[in-house]
Amino acid sequence: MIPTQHNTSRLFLHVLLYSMAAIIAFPFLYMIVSALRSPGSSDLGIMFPRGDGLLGIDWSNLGFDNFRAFFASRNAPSALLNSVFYASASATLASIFAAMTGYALARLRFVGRGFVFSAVLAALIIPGPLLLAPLYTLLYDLGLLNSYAGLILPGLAPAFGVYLFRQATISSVPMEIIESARIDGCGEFRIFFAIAFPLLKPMVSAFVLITFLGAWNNFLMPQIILSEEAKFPLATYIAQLRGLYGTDYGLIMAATLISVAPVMLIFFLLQRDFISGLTAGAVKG
Amino acid sequence: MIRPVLELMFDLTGRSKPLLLIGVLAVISGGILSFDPPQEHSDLEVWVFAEEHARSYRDTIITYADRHDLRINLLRVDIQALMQRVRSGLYSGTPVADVFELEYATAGQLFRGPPENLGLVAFDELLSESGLLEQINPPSLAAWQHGGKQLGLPHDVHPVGLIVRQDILDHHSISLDDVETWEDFFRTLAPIANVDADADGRPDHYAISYWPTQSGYTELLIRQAGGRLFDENGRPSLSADPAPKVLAHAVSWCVGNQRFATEIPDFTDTGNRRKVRGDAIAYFAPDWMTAVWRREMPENSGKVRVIPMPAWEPGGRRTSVYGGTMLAIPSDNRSFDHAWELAQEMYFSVGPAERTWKSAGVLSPITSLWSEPFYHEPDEYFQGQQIGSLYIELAPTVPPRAASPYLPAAQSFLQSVGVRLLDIAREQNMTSPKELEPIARELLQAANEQLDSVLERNPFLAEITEQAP
Amino acid sequence: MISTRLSSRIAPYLMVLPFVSIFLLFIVYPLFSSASLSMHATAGPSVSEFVFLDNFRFLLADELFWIALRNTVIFTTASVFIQIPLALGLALALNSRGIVGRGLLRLVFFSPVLIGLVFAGLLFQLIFEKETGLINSLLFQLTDTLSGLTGIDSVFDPEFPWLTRFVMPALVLVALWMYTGFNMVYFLAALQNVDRTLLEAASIDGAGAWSRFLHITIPAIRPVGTFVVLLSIIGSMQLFELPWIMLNGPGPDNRGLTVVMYLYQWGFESGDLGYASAIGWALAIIMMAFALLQRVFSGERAA
Repeated sequence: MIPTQHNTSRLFLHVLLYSMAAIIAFPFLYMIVSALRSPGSSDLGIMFPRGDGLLGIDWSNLGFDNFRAFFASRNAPSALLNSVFYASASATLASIFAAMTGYALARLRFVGRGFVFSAVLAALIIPGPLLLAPLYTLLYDLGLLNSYAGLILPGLAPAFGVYLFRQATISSVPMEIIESARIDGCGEFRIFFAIAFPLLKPMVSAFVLITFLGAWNNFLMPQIILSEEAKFPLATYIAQLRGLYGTDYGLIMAATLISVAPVMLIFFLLQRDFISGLTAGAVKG
Repeated sequence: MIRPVLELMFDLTGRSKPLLLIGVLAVISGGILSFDPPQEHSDLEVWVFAEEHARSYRDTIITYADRHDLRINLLRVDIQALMQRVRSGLYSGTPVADVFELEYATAGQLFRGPPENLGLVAFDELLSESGLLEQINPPSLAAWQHGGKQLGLPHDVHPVGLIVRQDILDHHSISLDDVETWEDFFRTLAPIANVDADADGRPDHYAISYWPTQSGYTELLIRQAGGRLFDENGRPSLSADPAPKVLAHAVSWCVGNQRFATEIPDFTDTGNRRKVRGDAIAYFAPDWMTAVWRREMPENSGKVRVIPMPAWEPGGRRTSVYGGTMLAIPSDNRSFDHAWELAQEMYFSVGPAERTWKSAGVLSPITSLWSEPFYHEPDEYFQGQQIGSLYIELAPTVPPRAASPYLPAAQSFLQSVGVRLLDIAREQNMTSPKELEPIARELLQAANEQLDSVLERNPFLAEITEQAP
Repeated sequence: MISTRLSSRIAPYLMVLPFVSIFLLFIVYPLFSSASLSMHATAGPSVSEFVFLDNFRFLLADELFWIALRNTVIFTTASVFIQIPLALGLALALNSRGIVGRGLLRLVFFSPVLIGLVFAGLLFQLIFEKETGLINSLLFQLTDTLSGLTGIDSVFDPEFPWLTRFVMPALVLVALWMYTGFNMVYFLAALQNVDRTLLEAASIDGAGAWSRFLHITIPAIRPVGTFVVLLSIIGSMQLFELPWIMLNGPGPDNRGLTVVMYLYQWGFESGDLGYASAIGWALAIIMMAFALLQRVFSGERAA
């Protein structure tokens, strides 16, 4: 490990880390400035102030016009709502299904267990895009194109999640607890929900966030499956805002901020669990 | 009551319930979505992709609906979303409008399968029976034919001129009145192009806004010179003359220390700022571009004029064609008679034509309307110039063009070749079109072969060419 | 009331039922149907014709596919070889004793991944733009000021086209911005597994920092390292949204064309789902080869 006893090297490390952080944060700052500036004004005049106002910034060029425009535009608020629904429904159901399956594979005995687990392992290396075309024809046959069922259902069999939950169960749900619960007469579902699930909480948090984030930022699937603008989630809606007649970057950056805010908030809330869960799967894997 | 909510949100004790939180979100948002009022019933659905178009048809549609006691729903849908909906409707039967508009660059994508399976009404007989065929500017029809069938009604002609910054020219006492060819054009502008008079480190003006990445502009230059991307059998003809020569010239504008061209994006905030600043003197301008300038760059009012494109040789064609809209009716419509009648009123009557001209700057393809006075009014934005008269003058000589499902592919190859040629020119310091032409020809030939092999493998296309007259 | 014994026999099946049924319908079935689809020429899902191996024959000779593959492999290689060492370095630095504001730093490093590829694409399109973009205006102003001070007459060309000349480096840079912090979090967790007493003992025995890193830290974090490399490869090979948004398509001369983008163009713009499936299979085979290689590689190292 890097020695940190000397003050000079500690200072050096701090300079390094904080300058990296500044570089990484800079595009965010640019995004915020672009979202706040009024249409037609230069963003650089705000980033590198040389004007007359306080701190050299021309404050009259900053405002919430772009945010107002976003919420006033047709279908934008519904895109936000669509995103919330798509991401939260996907995350909830996928997490429950994956947790149940992962737990069963790790701790329960049943015929076909080995087969299911091999199938899950095999599915880990199937690239998603391979399934795009056949999935499209399948949804067509099922009459699920342009519907939320068609968008959400295919995402509810996360092989990766099952794998993670199996690992997490092995490492944090001891067999003895399950056995003693059985002796006390608990049913299997009760054991899972009342005993195993709380023990798996870090993994649940991590996986909920991963799937929420994945669906929230998913562009390709909605783009292919949905054809009605009113049904578009945010990412797809905003990508098509870059219209034939003019790209309003201010509006787009405002929309980006609006999109990032909820996931930032969720990440803040789940941060502790998220990091321990995320790594539980990897470390023991 | 408040305590558990706070608990849930802020993880006070480390006993937060993330799954519950997200699950509650799902239920609430799902609940709101399911309460969404069901879509209003309509007898006829019309989709257009530009707000300007919607504006010019609105009155016509309202009158028509009142006259026939119908509910007609007019919807503006973004062009990409519209293509997606139409594709998915024609391919897989999701609901599609009864009347919808498509755009030239992407419409051809629908013309890939066998014509009888495309799901679009053919207008050939309707047009000749109604006598409309003779009234439509002939070059404007071909773009919407596939397998010998007229699958779309033309919305426009889209002749191309150049918007020039007259204020800058006047400032330097330069006149473009005597310019006839591209050679004249660049010779005349040479004294002010690529000169840094204000010494701010960058040239004040370039002669023209063009770059090989903008393959649409390359395409219009090739068409102006009489070239085409596909031959009469629908096979690609990217390398046929005069394309290599045109491409070599166009790329030569973009190289050397005294280059004439600069890349200014269209329709973007930053591109508009550069157009206001006058980074280029001349800009390719199909008729609709005049409306875009008027709306997006009010600062340029009174500073610009429209001139015909300089020709490739003395006496040559002074215009080209760029973009285009068609109207289609799917075979699976709810009322063909109403759809067809409404389509005619939207596209071929004087009221919408006037509104389309005033709001979108688009000239109607119906030649008998060209004498209407509204086309010939002086335009304040263009220094009082009668730009309508100019575009009408150019309209009959607009080059014809065919539709192809492979048009986007051809444009993409054209762009690749242009960008590669520019790189070669820059690396090897070639600035004369003569040096560049053989390389352009070679690159275009290779691209053409590739595109041809793509066509070759479409089993449905073979049927089409056999059926074609 | 079902007896406990009976329910305990059925329970496992009920638990795996939702996953397995969706898995069979939306993963296993499409997988088999994609094999059949890849032997058809199609125009949308309803029109198709059996062409056997024609799609694959065409694929092998399809220059654009090879361009797409080359771009994708370049992106993947660059991403993995730059991102992962950088992520590890950041994790080591952040894990040192006495770092002030560790939580904040971790959050800042991690946050770009929350923004999503579409939005990152839009943001960086703006940043890389010619003439008015952040990078070009910055470099122009900087060099202009410098040349004013030094009298050297060379100024950065504000029209320098990053997204024409340096498409791949630009994409790699954005991916670096997005994913370095994400991978760092994995390494950070893995470092908690490193035995501190072992490190201290080695230090007392006179082992240098480098040798301690090589012989104690690296073996302890290898499983996570393998995992992160595999995840990065899988993710990078499926690159699509970022160039699609940032370049408004495949970019000049297809310099930002990726395999998945090519698949999308064929399947969902041109409507040839058959050829799209063939492209998908090619990608699957390449990714399986990667996974196998990596397994062999890490297996050998562990032995």
